[in-house]
Amino acid sequence: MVSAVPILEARGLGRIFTRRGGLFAPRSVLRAVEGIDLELPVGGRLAIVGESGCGKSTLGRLLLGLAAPSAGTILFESMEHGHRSPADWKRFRRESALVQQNPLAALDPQMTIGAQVAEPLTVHGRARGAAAREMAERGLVEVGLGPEMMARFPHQLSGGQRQRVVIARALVMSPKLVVFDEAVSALDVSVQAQVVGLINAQQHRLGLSYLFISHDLRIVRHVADRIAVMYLGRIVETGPIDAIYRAPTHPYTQALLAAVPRLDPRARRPAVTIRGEATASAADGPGCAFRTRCAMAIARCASERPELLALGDRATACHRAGEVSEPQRERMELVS
Amino acid sequence: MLLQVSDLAIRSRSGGVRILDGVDLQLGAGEVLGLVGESGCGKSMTCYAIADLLPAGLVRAGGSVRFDGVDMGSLDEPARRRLRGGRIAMIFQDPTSHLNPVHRVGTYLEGALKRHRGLSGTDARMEAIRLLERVGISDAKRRMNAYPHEFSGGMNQRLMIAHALACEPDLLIADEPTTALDVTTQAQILDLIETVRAETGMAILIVSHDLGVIARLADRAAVMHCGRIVETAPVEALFDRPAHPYTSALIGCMPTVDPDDCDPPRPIRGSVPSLADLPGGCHFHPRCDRRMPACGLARPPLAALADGQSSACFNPVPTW
Ligand SMILES: Nc1ncnc2c1ncn2[C@@H]1O[C@H](COP(=O)(O)OP(=O)(O)OP(=O)(O)O)[C@@H](O)[C@H]1O
Ligand SMILES: Nc1ncnc2c1ncn2[C@@H]1O[C@H](COP(=O)(O)OP(=O)(O)OP(=O)(O)O)[C@@H](O)[C@H]1O
Ligand code: SF4
Ligand SMILES: [Mg+2]
Ligand SMILES: [Mg+2]
Repeated sequence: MVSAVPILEARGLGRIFTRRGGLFAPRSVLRAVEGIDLELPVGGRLAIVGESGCGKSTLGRLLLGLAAPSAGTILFESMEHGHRSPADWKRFRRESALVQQNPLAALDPQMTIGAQVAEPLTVHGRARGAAAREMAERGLVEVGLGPEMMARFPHQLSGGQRQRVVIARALVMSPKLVVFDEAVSALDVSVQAQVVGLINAQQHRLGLSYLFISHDLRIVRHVADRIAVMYLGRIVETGPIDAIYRAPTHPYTQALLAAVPRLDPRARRPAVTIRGEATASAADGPGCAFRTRCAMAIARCASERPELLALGDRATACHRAGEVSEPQRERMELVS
Repeated sequence: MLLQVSDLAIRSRSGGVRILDGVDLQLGAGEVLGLVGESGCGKSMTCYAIADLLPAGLVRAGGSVRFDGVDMGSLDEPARRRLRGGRIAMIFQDPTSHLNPVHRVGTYLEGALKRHRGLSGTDARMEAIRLLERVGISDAKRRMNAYPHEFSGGMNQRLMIAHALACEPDLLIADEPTTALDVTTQAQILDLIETVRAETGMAILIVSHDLGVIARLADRAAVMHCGRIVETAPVEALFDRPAHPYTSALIGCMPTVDPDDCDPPRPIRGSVPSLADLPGGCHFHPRCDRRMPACGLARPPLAALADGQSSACFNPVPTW
C-alpha cells in the first residue's frame, strides 16, 4: 500500500498539568501526555490502551483541539492546529467528533433525543428545521434505533440505547475523524457486541478514520487495526494489533495481556501480574517509567529512558525489548 | 451444604415488581460458586438477600436461605447480625464508598477484630498489621494510620478483604470485586482471593458480569437472567458445553485477546427486557435462537441434565 498523507499526525505531543500544592503536598507537575508521535492514515483505526490515568482521554482531547498541548504539534490533513484561523477551526469542528467517556453526561436530560442528534447540524449550519430532523432520524436508524426514539428523553432509554444515540450524534455530520473514548466500556457484553458491529458498519459506510480509546484489551481487537499502548503518558509499544497480541515485546504489554482473564477455566494459572500500581512520580527524571514494576528491569532502566524504536511496522520503548519475560514464557507454554 | 438458597423471591415494596423469582443456589463448604449475568438481572440482590442486607425498597416474597443447616429466617436479629460480618462476610464493587471515610485503616480492622474475635489492645493491633501484610499491603505498620481516601481503589479492595478475613468467615460474598479496577489490579486481586481461599478453605460466592473472572475463579457457576437462574454447572462444563441458549449466547458475546479467535463478538438480538414488563414463559424467548412455541407459554423449570449441570430451557443446546 502506498502510504498517502495521514489524516492526522502528532509530533512530540505533550500536556502538563500543574497541581496546586495542598496543605502538605508541594506544588507538582504532572506529565499527563509526553512525547507522543503518531500517525493515523485515512480510514485508519487506531486503538489506545493503558491503565486508568495513563493519559488516554487527555491525548484524545489534545488531538481534537479540545485541550491545548504544552508541547508538540498536531496536523489534520496537513494543517497544523496551531496555524488554524477561526474559519479553519470551524471546518475542523465539522469534520471531527468526540464520543465521550460517559454517555449519560454527554446527553442533556431535558432535551429530546431527536433534538440532540440534530443539534450539530444546526450548530454547524448544515441543516435546520425539518431537514435537520430528517437527517437525525436517518442517523438514528443507521445505529439501529427506530424513529420513535426522536421524541424520547435520555432517561427513557437503556444504557446501550443511550450509547447509540451518542454515536449517532457524533456521526450525523459525517465526520472524517472520530475519537471514541471508552465508547463501549460501560455496556453489557451483549450490547457491547452490538455497538462494536455498529461502529464497524459505520466505518465502512463513511470511511471513517478513528482513535478508539479503551482500557479493555479484548474489545479493541474487533474495532481497530493498530494499537498504541500507553504507560504514564507515553506510548511504550505500538503496531498492528494481531502482531502485538501474538508477540508483545514490551514487558508492560506482556503483563497487560497476561492479566486479561481467559474464557477457559483450565487456563487458570496463578495469573502472572505486575507488581504494585502505576505511580506518576516514576515518570519523572531519567529512566523508564515502568521500571518500578518491571520484572525485567536492569540498572540501565533507571538511568536512561528507552526510546520508542521502530522495527518494521512496530515500535517499542524498552531496553530489553523482545527478550522473553517470565509472564510471556508462561503464556507461550499455555498456548502450546 | 454450607449455603442452600431455595425458591428465593424478592419484589419491590411499592410496585410489586419481581426482582428475584424462584432462585435456587447451593454452595458447599470451601466451594467457589460464580454468579454471572447481565446488568440488572439480580446478582447483587441475590447477594444482599443472602447476607440479609436487602435495601429498604425490597422485600422477601418467598423462599428460604439456609446457612449451615439453619434457616436464617428463623433467627432473631442479634443472631443474624452475628452471622453477617462474622461467619458471612461481604465485599463490594466499590470498596471506597463502603468504607467509613473518618475511620483510619487500623481502627476499621481493630473494630472488626474486637467484635468478632474479642481481640483488643496490642493483640488487635498486631493482628490488624498481620492482616494488612497478608493481603499484600506493604509498609503495613505505617498504613494503619492512613484513611481510605489515601488508598487507591485496588488497595481499598485489599483492605475490604483484610476486613472480611478478620472475622474468619466460612462464606465470603464478593460482589463484582474487581469490576472497577484496571485489568492488572484485577489480576492481583483475583490472585489474592484465590490464595486466601486456599489458605482458609472458606467458601466464596463470586459475582461478576465478566465470564473471564468466573472462569478464572469458580468451581461451579450459575447463570442468571431476569431474576432467575437459567443454568448451573461445573465451570468446565459451562464453557465446554453450555446448555441454556442464553449461556451460549453470553459466551458468544465475549471478545478475547486470542488473535486466532477471529469471530467478532456475536450480539444477542434485541435488548434485555425490563423487569416491570417481562415476556411470559421463558423470559429469554423473544431473543432466543432455539425458541419453540411452548417457550412463550410456560416457565421452563431448572432441570438436571448430567454431571451436576442443570438448565431451565425447553430446547437446550445439545451437549453431546
Ligand atoms: N484537567 C486536569 N487537571 C489536572 N489533572 C488532570 C486533568 N485532566 C486529567 N488529569 C490527570 O492527567 C492524567 C491522565 O488523565 P486521563 O483522563 O487522560 O487518563 P485516562 O487514561 O483517560 O484514564 P481513565 O482510563 O481513567 O479514563 C491523570 O493523572 C489525571 O488525573
Ligand atoms: N432499592 C430498589 N428498589 C427497587 N428496585 C431495585 C432496587 N435495587 C435494585 N433494584 C432493581 O433490581 C434489579 C436487580 O438489581 P441488581 O442490582 O441485583 O442487578 P445486578 O445483576 O447486580 O446488576 P449489575 O450488574 O448492574 O450490578 C434491577 O432491575 C434493579 O433496577
Ligand atoms: S526499559 Fe527496563 S524497566 Fe522499562 S520496560 Fe524495559 S526492561 Fe522494564
Ligand atoms: Mg479516560
Ligand atoms: Mg450488581
